[in-house]
Amino acid sequence: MSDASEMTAELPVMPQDSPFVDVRHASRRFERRMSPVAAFLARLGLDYADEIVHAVDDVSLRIGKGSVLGLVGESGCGKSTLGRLIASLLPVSDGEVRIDGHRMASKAEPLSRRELLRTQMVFQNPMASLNPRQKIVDILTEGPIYHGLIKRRDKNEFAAALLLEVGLPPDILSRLPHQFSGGQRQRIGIARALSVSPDFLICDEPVAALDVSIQAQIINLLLDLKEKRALTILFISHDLGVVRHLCDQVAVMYLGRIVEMAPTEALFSNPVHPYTKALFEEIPRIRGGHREYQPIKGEIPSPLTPPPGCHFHPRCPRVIASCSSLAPPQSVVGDGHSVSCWLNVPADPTQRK
Amino acid sequence: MTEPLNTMPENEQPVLNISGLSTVYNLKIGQVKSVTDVSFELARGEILGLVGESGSGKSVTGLSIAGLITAPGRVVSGSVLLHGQELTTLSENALRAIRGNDISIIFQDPMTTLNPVLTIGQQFFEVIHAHRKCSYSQAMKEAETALIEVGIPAPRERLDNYPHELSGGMRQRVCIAISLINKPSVVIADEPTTALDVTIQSQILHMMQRLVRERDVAMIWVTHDLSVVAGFCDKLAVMYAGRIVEAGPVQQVLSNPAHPYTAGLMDSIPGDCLPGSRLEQIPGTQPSPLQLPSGCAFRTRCKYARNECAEKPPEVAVGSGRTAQCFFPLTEVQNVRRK
Repeated sequence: MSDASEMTAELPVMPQDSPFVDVRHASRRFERRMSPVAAFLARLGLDYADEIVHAVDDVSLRIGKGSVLGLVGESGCGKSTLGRLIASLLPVSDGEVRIDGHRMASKAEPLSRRELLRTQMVFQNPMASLNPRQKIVDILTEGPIYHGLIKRRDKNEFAAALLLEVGLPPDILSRLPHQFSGGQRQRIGIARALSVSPDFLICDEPVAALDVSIQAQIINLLLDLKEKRALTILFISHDLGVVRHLCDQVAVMYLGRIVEMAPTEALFSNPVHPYTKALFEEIPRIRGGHREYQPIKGEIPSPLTPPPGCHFHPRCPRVIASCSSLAPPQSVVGDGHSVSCWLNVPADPTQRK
Repeated sequence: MTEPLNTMPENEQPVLNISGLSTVYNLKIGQVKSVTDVSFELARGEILGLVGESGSGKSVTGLSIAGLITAPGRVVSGSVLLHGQELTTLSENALRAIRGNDISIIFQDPMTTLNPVLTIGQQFFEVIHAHRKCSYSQAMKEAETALIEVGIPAPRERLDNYPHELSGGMRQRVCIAISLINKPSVVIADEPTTALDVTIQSQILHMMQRLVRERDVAMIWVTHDLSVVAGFCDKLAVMYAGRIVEAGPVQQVLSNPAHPYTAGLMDSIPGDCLPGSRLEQIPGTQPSPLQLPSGCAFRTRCKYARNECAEKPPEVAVGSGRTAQCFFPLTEVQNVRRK
């Protein structure tokens, strides 16, 4: 969308010197072209048009080396698409993604394989992302053998070492994925991602499908690996409790845009955007006691026809006049804490409700 | 329903009384004891949270109560009393008259619960027509009111929609409206919000809280999420390997868990501890249901386990209305140290 020109404030500078991952005004659109009949009718002046979904809309973010960024939002807000853009599994429609200074997925300067290997992904459902007919040893060594990182004859030792690292016994090399429980499969998924020694890991809801006690084990594993391998992690999740525990910074996404981004403690102690505030209210708390739920009204709107201006305004409890006309600019409200909301734009105070 | 809805006598009979319920699955590779000796009771307007990991038998407990266990599974012992009527010995026909009418179930995934080739209105009609004489247009009127109650905008249009035309949260609300349409006295909700976003989850919890209170429904809320139970349920039963290991009023159990497994579950939820620190985790995984350890099934993962635990643990009272199946229930002192 053309709202990029509305950006007034520059991105807040992160405490780290140079960002390891730098996403600049990245957008991703999915289009469904009109049928020829509809195209003909459209030329006759009837109300037909291509359907365009703005899955990711002018997103900029930076992740410093060795830190963990949490990306939270409801389903359908574009957080997984953004993860795929950063992993260059999908090309960006506009903008660019740079990882350690290298531009990803650009036709002009294609990256070497070695560079691409530095980014790896861990997926949500390990049963769907592991080949059910491949033995564990082949799952773990297919990548490194193909890319010439290890010799084929070393594959057993290599896979055994990886399994030990993710907390599995090394004697399971010749088993198949269905012989494991969900938590063990997710460990295998993580081991596969680590097999080509990446330094940037994109985890797309890695614990959403697991039981709480297993979740804790996987979170602990990720914390250990981050220390040991000096990993930079993008952690996509809808579970705010997990994000708070694991991440250094959090970005909150709503319908394709990042509405608030801040260091974890700043965000949880002082959420600024009404959407973030509402999200935090709705986290079920174990020590909160019996309570009344006061939900946000309505559901996330269809990305085919997003509301004009700020996407959140139809559900927002503090909506003002300018919300429905223009997308709010990003404003800085604290150290590394930026928010896109009209309430924080120093403007004529009489406009506010 | 025999009594008027709005009166709550002091010594009311429980709506649902379960005692010694056991369900097994006879498989080729051996017998799986999915539910063993489960007992609890439920009064009007009460919500029981049934909590456990996957495979702990919480869903099978719900299915056993509704008489939905099919071969190779079988309810081998115990009784389920609904308004004093025994359900486990009823014929299938008699059960059909009760299911969907006096007991209803809400399942986890609304897309697989709803029939994809029928409109929402037709599915309402099926449920109403199965239990009482009713014209289609009258059923639609009832359905419309039910949809308004669960907060669905433009209910008249929705009745002509097919399930795939609705969003996930909307579908689950339709399921809830269908399950409540015949004014059941017991609702079994099997992880109804697990597949939904936090915002939609809190909308549904809000709505269920209101409906349970207004209609005096007794509800069993099956979930793996202790934090939902904390704000929503009145009573809590924690299941492990087919047994209820701890039960009692929610606030008391969560503020001072007696069974080491409950304590372990609570510790593995991120939130209270220092961000970035390691979470306390329960070591190991659940034992295979084919080879449960003798005695207390949790003893292989329990840090307080001693030799005695190989015997069947006693059910001890640990406060008013609270029980735990453990030789060495945690004391308050231990719980303070645990934090």
